[in-house]
Amino acid sequence: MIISQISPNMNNYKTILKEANQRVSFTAAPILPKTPQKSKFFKYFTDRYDKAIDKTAIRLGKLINNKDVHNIFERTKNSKYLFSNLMTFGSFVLSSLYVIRTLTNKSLDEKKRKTLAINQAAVFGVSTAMCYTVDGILNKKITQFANRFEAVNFNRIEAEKLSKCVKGVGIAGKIIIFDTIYRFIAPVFVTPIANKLGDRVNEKKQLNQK
Amino acid sequence: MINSLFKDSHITQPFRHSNFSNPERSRQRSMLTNEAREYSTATVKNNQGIIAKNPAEISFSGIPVGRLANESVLKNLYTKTREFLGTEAKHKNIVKLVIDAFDFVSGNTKDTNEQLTKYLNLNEEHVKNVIKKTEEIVKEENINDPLPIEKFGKEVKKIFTSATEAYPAVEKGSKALKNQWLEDFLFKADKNNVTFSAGFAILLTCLLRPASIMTLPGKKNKDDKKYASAHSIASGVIGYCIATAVSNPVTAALDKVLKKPADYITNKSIVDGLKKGSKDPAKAWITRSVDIAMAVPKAVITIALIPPILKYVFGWEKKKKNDSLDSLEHNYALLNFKSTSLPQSKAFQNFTGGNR
Repeated sequence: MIISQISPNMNNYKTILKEANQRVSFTAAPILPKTPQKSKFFKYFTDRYDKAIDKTAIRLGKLINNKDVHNIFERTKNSKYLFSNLMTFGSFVLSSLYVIRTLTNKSLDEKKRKTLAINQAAVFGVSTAMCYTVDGILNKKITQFANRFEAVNFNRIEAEKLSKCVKGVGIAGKIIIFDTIYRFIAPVFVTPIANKLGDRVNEKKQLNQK
Repeated sequence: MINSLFKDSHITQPFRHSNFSNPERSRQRSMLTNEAREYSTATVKNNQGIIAKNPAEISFSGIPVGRLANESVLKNLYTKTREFLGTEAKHKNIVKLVIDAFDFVSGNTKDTNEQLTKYLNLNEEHVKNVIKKTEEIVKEENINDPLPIEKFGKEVKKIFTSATEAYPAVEKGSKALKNQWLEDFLFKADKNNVTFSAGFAILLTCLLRPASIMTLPGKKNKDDKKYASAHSIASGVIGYCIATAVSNPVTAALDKVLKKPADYITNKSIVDGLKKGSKDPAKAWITRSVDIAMAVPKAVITIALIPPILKYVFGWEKKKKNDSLDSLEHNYALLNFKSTSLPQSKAFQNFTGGNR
């Protein structure tokens, strides 16, 4: 035994007896692990957060309770492209905002404004086409991956969680494809090409006018 | 030695105490674990209520692919087919041959070839077994029972194709697919797609995009590149912050509603509709709508955040036009010493020229 581990209490027969009694006795109440207590400071915020969630849930319940809203859910129930279409719509809203901002930007010439706005719209169009094409190509592979994941983990993961993970494969695949194209390929590679094309068109127009 | 015994005493005591207090329960538990071990090897026929209560989501004709890929009957068929075609046979060849066999046995076609005849001579029993087994599963699950034979033949083909695609992974017991990290990753993607998307966007906008903007050759000057990178980082950070601040509570609230729709929704037909399968579209519509609604504030805050990011991340401040050297070069007002447009010292204002 290492000397540093020896303590004066070791040879204390009272301590040994006391702890030995605790060990042998079956009548003693089981020692339960201590439940971590939340600090009052955080409790204040967590309570507020829970209340806010409850209120939001009630409002969402009212929204879903509407027949028209539920009809939308029912109609799109079997759509394969619902998630992709919603993501595209989000990008459409953002791109439209940028186009409007460019068209109303007074610090630019009128010609340049138009060219830039057309460029932005074209970038959105090309990126969207790319998204759906890549999604179509990889869709089969993603489904295969989901099948394999499900098959391998069929006995390992609880059924409810497994079904969510399998759904997650499709969602993650779409998010990775759409986000990579809209947020990386479009601004880094497509936009500069579109800008160059726009500049050339402008130069040609100016030469023709002269 | 004594110390270590005493240290362990508080751990072992409650466990033993519970074991002695309820021996029947502990025996049942050990039986359950044994059963789980047995079922995890191959046979999944009677697994309901033990490991997986409900079939998993991805299914063909209502039969989960995972279940079929784990079926011992399918395993037999797959092994026999591979033996017939040789161990080096490509996966696609196996699928094609068995599909042809299914077509022939279920009476969809009468076309045969030499290889198919040979195969059926050896393995017809196995093919029939799989068809029979699939029929049994369909009956168990009450899926359009009974299916017409022609349609059923097609369904079996589909099931077999997808199950065979999944089968090699089952056989190999692919470690990558059993990774806990992957499981959590996919679970989170389904649980909150907006936050997941924002998290992935951070990787793109804060690392990949700035790196490629700065390294790619181009006519743009460095300041423009820095500005574009700052815009990218700002959009990623703001996107993630807003997603976690707004989308997380909405998703949590939505999960509450979808878990117990009857508590929040009064219309019974809508509650039934949600239970029958409109939960997923509801989740997709609501979460993505929140994301779309946040697009405008996101864009505004992103633009506002660009200058501080430029200053503190890239150590660069955009100079105002008046401060730049270019403007000084063309500011002819400076040459006119008596000009009132610029603040000048009195010495220059009194200057009248060389000859008085």
